[in-house]
Amino acid sequence: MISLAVQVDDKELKKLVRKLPPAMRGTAANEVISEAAAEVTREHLRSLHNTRHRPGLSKSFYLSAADAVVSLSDDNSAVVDIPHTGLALRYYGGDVYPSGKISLITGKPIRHLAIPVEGSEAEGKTPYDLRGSTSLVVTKRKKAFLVKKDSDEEITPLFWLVEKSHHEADKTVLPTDEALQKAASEALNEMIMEVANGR
Amino acid sequence: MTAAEFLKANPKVTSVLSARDIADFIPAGIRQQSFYSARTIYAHHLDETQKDIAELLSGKMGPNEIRNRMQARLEMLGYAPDKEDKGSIRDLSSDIRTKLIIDIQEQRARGYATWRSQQKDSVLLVWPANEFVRVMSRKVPRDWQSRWNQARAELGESRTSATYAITRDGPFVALKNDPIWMHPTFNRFGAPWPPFDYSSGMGLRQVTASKARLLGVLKDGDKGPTPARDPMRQVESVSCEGMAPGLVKKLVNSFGARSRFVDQKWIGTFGDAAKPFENRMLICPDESVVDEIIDVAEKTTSTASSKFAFVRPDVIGIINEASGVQIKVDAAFSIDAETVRKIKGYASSKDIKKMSEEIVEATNYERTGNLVKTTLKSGTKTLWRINAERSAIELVDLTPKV
Repeated sequence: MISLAVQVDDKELKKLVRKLPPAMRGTAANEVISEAAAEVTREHLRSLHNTRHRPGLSKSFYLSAADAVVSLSDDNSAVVDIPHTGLALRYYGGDVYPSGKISLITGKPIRHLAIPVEGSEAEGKTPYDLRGSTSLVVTKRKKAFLVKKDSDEEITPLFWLVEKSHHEADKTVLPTDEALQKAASEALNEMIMEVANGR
Repeated sequence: MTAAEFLKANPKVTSVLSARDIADFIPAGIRQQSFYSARTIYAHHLDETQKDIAELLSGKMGPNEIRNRMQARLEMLGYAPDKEDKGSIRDLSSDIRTKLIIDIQEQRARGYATWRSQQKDSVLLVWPANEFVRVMSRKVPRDWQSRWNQARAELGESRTSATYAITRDGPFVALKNDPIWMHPTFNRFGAPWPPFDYSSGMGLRQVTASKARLLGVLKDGDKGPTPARDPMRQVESVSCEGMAPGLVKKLVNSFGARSRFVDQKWIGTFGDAAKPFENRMLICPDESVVDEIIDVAEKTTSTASSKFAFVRPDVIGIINEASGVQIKVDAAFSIDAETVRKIKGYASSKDIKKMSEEIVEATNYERTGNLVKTTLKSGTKTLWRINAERSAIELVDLTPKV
């Protein structure tokens, strides 16, 4: 889960809010600000899908994240919530450790992460999906991986087994503060126009 | 209500029916409010899958883990697909089937949460319309142009704001609460939020008022849409005609105290002798509406009310005698904000919620004058005065807790 807060006390936004009828300056204005930020976040995630989604994977991480975006607001704040596993990790970066949950294959606590080898048939799959057709191999340098035995002499690596994985922070997975503020300004201008139109 | 709460509120319905049979025989009103999967009779499996997907919706579990858990559970239950079905969509444990279930349920719940968050006066003022757009490419895209234009024609131009789709890419724009979004020709599932079909790769984008005006969707002088109530926050009345009695019974049981089967309900209009009666199933909103009404009572001056459960058939006589009015079998318990404010003097919100939940399962009712004494499962004794002015029962009086 990751949340984005829009600076509702930003000078430009405050100037626009003051143009609204008094009854609309609190929660109503913040609802529009948070929804504008939510909409620009959805569009941002959809455009990431177009550039980053790897063909062949049926589930799109970024489209699912776009679907998860919801706006929240009250008298004093405008927030965008994205309850989607993995997005906060991409945004902030950090280390991922095994969950320690009981493995569906071994019945023992999980102590390693299985990272699919890029370009292999394991991409988009888990060791459970390929159970029965993989074997554990540990190299002399103590690198462990799950492999598929093609023959007695040939193997194809499917998953690297690691004790943790590190992810660099990637702030581009979410729109910038400027983009959020711009979307909020445009939406408030639309709101002012619609009020002037008598709606 | 968040996406996860929406999903958890859906009763699980086990069924041997195929997806096509479900679409043909289970009315959209029931499909929208239940958690089911074609040809799935394992109640525990459905229950656990629903819980897991709720975790996914809260950002606490990934789809691959859920898929593997579904497969492991089915294996433990001894499930084995028919040889010819193995690996296909008919195989409950196949990758394609488990992925589809997770995707559809996730999209449904997410779609609801987004739709709900946009049903506000302020948001509808700025973005009164939605555009149906492609968000993921498909090898063989569906012919949405025909579906949209046909639904539009069936509604008639005077009853819809929908644009005419000139090309395969649209434009597919209509006001947010336009009937086209739920029209069965366009929307396979019937809810006003996406998905509108299996793995369609389509989604919604909000359209601003100025653009909606340019497209002719919002006309000059139009006030535009007003916030819609959740479809599942109203008593749903659906026809049971053509459904097997066993299936009707199962569906009624799945919804528990929220549902009622009404034999030969009057549906005709005077002068229409063609088909005045029909077997129907009624579904009330779930008990979470009580929370909403308590919230409204505490934070606003609104008089909002909502129904949340039916009167048990065996106590209708007692209720009718006490109230002095003939309460029909399809009358439901209701709770309103004003009543909550009245009883807040001697009962907490938690008490009101608990009693509202339990009254539908009360173990006995006794009548004293126009008061009905109820003994709840918890042993709590309560008194309820029947409001004779309406054919609904209200929480209007409650004995102070000792």
